[in-house]
Amino acid sequence: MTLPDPFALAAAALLALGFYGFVVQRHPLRRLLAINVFGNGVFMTLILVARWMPGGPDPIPHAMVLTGIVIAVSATAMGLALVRRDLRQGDGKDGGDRD
Amino acid sequence: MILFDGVLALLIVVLAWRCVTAGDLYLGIVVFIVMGLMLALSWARLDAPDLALAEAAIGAGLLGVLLLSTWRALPGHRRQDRDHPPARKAVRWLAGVASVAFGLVMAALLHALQPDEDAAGALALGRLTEAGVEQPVTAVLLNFRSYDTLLEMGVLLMALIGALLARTPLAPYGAATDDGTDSPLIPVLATTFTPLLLLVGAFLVWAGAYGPGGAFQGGAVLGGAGVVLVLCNRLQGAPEAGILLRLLLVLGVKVFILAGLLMLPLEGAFMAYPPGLTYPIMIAIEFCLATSIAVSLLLLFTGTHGVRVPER
Amino acid sequence: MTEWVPVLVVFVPFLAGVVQFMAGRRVIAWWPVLASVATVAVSLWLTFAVAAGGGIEHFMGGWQPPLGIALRADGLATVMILLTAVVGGLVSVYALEAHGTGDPRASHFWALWLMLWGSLNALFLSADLFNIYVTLELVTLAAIPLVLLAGPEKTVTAALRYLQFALFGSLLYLAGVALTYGLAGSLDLALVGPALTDGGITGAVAATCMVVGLLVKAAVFPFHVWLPAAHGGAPAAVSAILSALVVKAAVYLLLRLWTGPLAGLADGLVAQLMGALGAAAILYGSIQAFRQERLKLVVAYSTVAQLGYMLLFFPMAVAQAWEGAVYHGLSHGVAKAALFLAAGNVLVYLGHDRVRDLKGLDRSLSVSLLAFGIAGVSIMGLPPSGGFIAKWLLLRASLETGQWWWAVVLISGGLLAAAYIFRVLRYAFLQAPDRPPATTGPIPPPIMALPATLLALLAIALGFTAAPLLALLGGLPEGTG
Repeated sequence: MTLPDPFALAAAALLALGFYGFVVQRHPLRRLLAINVFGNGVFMTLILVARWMPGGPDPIPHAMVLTGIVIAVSATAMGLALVRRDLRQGDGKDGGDRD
Repeated sequence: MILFDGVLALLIVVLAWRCVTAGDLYLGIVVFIVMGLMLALSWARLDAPDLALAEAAIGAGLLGVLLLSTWRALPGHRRQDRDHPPARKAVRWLAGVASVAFGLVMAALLHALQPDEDAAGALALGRLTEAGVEQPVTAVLLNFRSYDTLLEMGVLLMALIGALLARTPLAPYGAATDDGTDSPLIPVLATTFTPLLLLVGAFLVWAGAYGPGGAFQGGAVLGGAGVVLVLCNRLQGAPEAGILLRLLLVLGVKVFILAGLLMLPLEGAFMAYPPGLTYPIMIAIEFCLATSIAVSLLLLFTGTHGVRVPER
Repeated sequence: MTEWVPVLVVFVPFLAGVVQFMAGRRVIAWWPVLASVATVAVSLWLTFAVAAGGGIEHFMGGWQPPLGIALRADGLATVMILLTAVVGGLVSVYALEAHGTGDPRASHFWALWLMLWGSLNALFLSADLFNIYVTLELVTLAAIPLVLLAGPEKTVTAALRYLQFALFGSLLYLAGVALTYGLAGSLDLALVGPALTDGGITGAVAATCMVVGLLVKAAVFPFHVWLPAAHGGAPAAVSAILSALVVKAAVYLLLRLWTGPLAGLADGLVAQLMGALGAAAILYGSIQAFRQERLKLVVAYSTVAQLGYMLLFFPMAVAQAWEGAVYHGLSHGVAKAALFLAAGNVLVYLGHDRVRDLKGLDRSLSVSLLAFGIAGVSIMGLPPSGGFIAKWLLLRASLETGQWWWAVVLISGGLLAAAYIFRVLRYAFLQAPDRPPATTGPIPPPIMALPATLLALLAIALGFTAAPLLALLGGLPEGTG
């Protein structure tokens, strides 16, 4: 591989950006977005691993990604229900990012 | 093609950057959905058409709908960052440096990674004939690693319970009655588009045995058909679920577990399908899974325990 | 038959939870009892089978690893399943009253708790890196709705925070799993070790991602920020389950990975760092526990501290440290469940749990307060108790390895624990009531007080039953250290 693989770079960038967003953003909806960006980076990594297997594509990482997408979307959907509840009721009450 | 790949990858990175840092939350959500579609495109390029379908239908499509409907439900001042300002500048710089370093390390590692040819996946491809279906990913999901898929259905079920618990005491969020209900497109959507979606969904489930598709992609499309019906006011959320709806909700996980336990005395291992019956059992399970996925996703959208046909 | 038990241990409670969800309130009176009894029975069956005949392995779908997923019931998994059965069984008894016919959300509680029980057992038995990710998510997504049962308006912020951290932690873990699969071409715990060891920097980064992801999930200092509000705000039965079992599941995975696939990578400096995190958790958590004004938050911060002890295994990594860390997990699980149930009874009776206003409870809540005190003995690590045995083993390990600084941490942690436990007891027992407490609730019936007492007595009994339990656990897995 002489040229860098553009998708490998994209996967690394998704991981980095997701991490950055998770640390920096405080709005709960934005955090969920950042977490999903990170997750997409993980999925992209798995897809690349599958593609690079000689004789592939390897179905096992593909199955892992499919499972991972459903889990990520389920968890995010639950997170969205929590966000909706949290931000609608808690007027004047800070979420409290200190502990 | 290398140029196309390069542009696509660059586009994904730029969209991810905008999604994470967009000044406006709404813009961030829209960019996230577009990024999902671009990712689906790139995964199709990376020999993963199944995953491209799943990402487009679930990751970008359904999650996008959920994100937008959540955004719309938030009070105006909660859509801004005022109550939740981003971290201080010093933290931002620190996080920036750390994530650049993390990204560079990961990029270097990914380029150095050379998977073996004796990976478990090669084994899976080699033993495909024993698995009962031609499509390798479906074989892994429903046979070699069916246990993961089963537990994943549990995750979906519990996420639904959690979402319902979080939303129950709030005013029920039924159909979108506030806008667009008198559009001339509505009858067309409801009467033409929905049957088409149902057909496509069912086809995708069945096709999973042979080509791209499967319970999850098909189930998501079926759930999407339900979402269209809710948006068109042909279906609305109901505070209580009948036993039939609940039965459909748990159908996938229940049939899966019972089939698995039945195999224990018959074949000596959980979910070891008897030879010869593998294909019919897997197709049956797949349709049960798709049904449960469709109903779960629909209820995640309405945020209610049940659905009903509105009285006219 | 014996090789089926691991499957039953997972699916008896899991299926029971699904049925409970489907049938709803119609079956509330008898189905949970039946399901809990059946689950405890199969868990005991597994325990005796492993104790008699050694580890049990089951290949799901009949496919051997690396193609399929294996369930492995070894000593470590079995003692954790036994702990879950004991704590889960007694918490279920408590919950029969607390989340019985009178509670409109009872059906949700039992559906979630039974599925969580099955998920925990699945996590302990899993021998596959990706399957572990799925079970981790199962456990988390069952735990968060349980927190909401205290009334979403009170706990939604805590639940949201919990979800964010848990989700990010498990995706970080998954990133490590992705790299591991790229290196090893397998996901089975027994097969990936050599490839990770030879993987150079990729192996190291993969291991780091997995370990850090699990540290976030285990609420180890400094990732503890989500824990106190979630554990302190949940209903008492749920707090007991979360503190005794759910966070411990992540620490369990750290122990399992460290002594299994990551054994070849363990570096002295990293191990010392893990120990330092544990020490920081012990000191910080204990001091915070002492400063809390609400009883349940005292107990919740105590969990942050107590989890730290289990991390002291990593720098020492000898047989006694292994036994001590696991035994600490067991005795803390039992004692902490007792503390939370007792605190829950105080909350039922008083309608609040402000530490300063606990005066004069000694007559009306004597059984619950007694349970609190007895469980406190184990938390402090005084003899005779399970906590004492665990700390004694860890202390001996620190002297054996010449790392005396951990002994200092152990002793100061015990003193700090004594401080926050006695502070609570002082307010509850010793201060004469200037006026009768303005009670708002009924005196909790014996069915709510007895499980706490039994759990507390078990924490003491663990001081005498170390030999059979440690024999069941087995020695430190080979290749560690």
